[in-house]
Amino acid sequence: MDNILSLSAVELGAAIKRGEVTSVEATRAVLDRIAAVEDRYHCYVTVVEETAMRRAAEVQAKINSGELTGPLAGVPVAIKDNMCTTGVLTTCSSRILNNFIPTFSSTAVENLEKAGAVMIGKTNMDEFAMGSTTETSAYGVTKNPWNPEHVPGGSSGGSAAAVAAEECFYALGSDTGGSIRQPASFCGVVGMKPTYGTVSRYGLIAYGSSLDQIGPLCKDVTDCATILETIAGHDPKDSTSVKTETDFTTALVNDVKGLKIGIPRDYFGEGLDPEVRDSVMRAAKLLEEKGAILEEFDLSLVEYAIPTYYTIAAAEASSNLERFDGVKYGYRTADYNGLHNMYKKTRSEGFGPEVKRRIMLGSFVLSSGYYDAYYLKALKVKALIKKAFDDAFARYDLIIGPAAPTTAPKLGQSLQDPIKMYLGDIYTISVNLAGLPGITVPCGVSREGLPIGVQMIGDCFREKTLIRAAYTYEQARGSYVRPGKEA
Amino acid sequence: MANVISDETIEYVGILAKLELNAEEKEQAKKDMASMLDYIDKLGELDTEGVAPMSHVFPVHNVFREDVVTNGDDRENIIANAPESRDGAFVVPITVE
Repeated sequence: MDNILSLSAVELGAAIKRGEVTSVEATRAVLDRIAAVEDRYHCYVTVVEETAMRRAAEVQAKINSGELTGPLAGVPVAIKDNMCTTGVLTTCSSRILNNFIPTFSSTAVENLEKAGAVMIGKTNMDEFAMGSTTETSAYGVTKNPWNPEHVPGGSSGGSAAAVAAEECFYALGSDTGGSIRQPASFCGVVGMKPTYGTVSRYGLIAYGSSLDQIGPLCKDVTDCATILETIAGHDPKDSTSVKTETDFTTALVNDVKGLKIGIPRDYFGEGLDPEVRDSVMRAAKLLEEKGAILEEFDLSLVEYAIPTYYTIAAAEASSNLERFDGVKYGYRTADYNGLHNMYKKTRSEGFGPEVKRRIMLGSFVLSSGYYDAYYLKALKVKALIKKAFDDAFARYDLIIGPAAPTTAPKLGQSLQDPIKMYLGDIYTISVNLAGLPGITVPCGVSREGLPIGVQMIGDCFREKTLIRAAYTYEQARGSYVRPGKEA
Repeated sequence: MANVISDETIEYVGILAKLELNAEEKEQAKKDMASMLDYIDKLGELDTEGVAPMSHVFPVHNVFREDVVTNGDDRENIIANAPESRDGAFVVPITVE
């Protein structure tokens, strides 16, 4: 087979099953691709070449013997570097975890491995998933495979770029405020954040625990449903994980007749790039042609989502990141004078500026005297935002809009003005606050040659409605050019 | 309603956050935090009287399980991650004089 890399994950899995290609050949092809283009894009923090080749041989033997029969058996995968992986460096793209070798794997990764996945490496990200460009990584900047002068988005920028650059067949990311859906939009791939509780967070290094959720970044909606089906499920090790139906591939149905789709006017106002608006509206119209019923409505409270999010996420981050203290694992400062000085110096040297900014803000909004005015207020507004979505889903099966206001910005433009960067999360962030599922599907390319994604948002645990609509859209849209082709 | 962050506040938050900022970082942190708080103050426009704060989007409460040990002895690998260790234990600076 000479076009292995252009296969989707499910196509490759099927080809392996038919004996047309082996897992070892596919893994070798991906590793060769990484060797050829990684200098240009820098999607990975760590590539585990030898382990991956060994694992591919083991998996292929189990496929041959009939022990592994699933759709993803033998398919190489990339994992965001905030998910623990036994025996493999896990840095969260932070200096403070520059030498951390986990003794256990996250449940999502374990579920993939049980299904015969071959992990080829750990992808670059914004440090501790704090950022929208993958530029806050302590291990260098990831470039957008569509145009290396632009960012891939973030925080799962390495995962999205690796899929787009064909440096893996699919990847896992995590989404706290848009960190799967926004880079998927910027890199022209499919990305999904499931309903909070659908995928276990065990072994995912926590940022904002009430918002974090693991999900797939992949080439098409079929891959997305298949990967989600593999990683989802209740896990006793995550008390917030939920027992819910996980037969997502049954929703790969080309039919949206009668589906009621809401178009929030507040997602199409000021600040939205006209090219993005037109492209997303064309996607909505395509669904209408397929029988869906479109209606504009006012979602309300959209401008309050970002301040609510940054208050809650910073508060949770300041608490979650207390564990990085230079005692049991990770970086420890070289010179110190006593315990408290060791803590302070270790953390000050180990964390980058964006992480420190959020820890400081979080510590402040949780401190006595400010707790009610900031943190508690944000939790109340969160309840209002959730109610606004509940009202919307009483009338619509799903909501459609952009994933981000623009296409991928140029490298080096976003970090100077944090609030401006945070505003880029406006269409993704409230989905996390309300615990909802959201999917991004590529819907166009700008005149500048950068991808545009359409976001569909569903009610809690209505992943199957999203998958059906996304699949139907994808079928109607037709094939989508990937940047890896000519590279 | 521009917020102004005092040196004392930054000092205090630094203690809470266990972060040591140099003079330049402190000035930047004061500016960053003030502009973030100006932005967050927007929430004050909303009347939240009588709204219950929502920490979790679903009605989940405490989840209990039997307290049974399921993991094995992995001391060697765990200790291998320690910045400093001795005799299978973590080495920390003196904590009590």
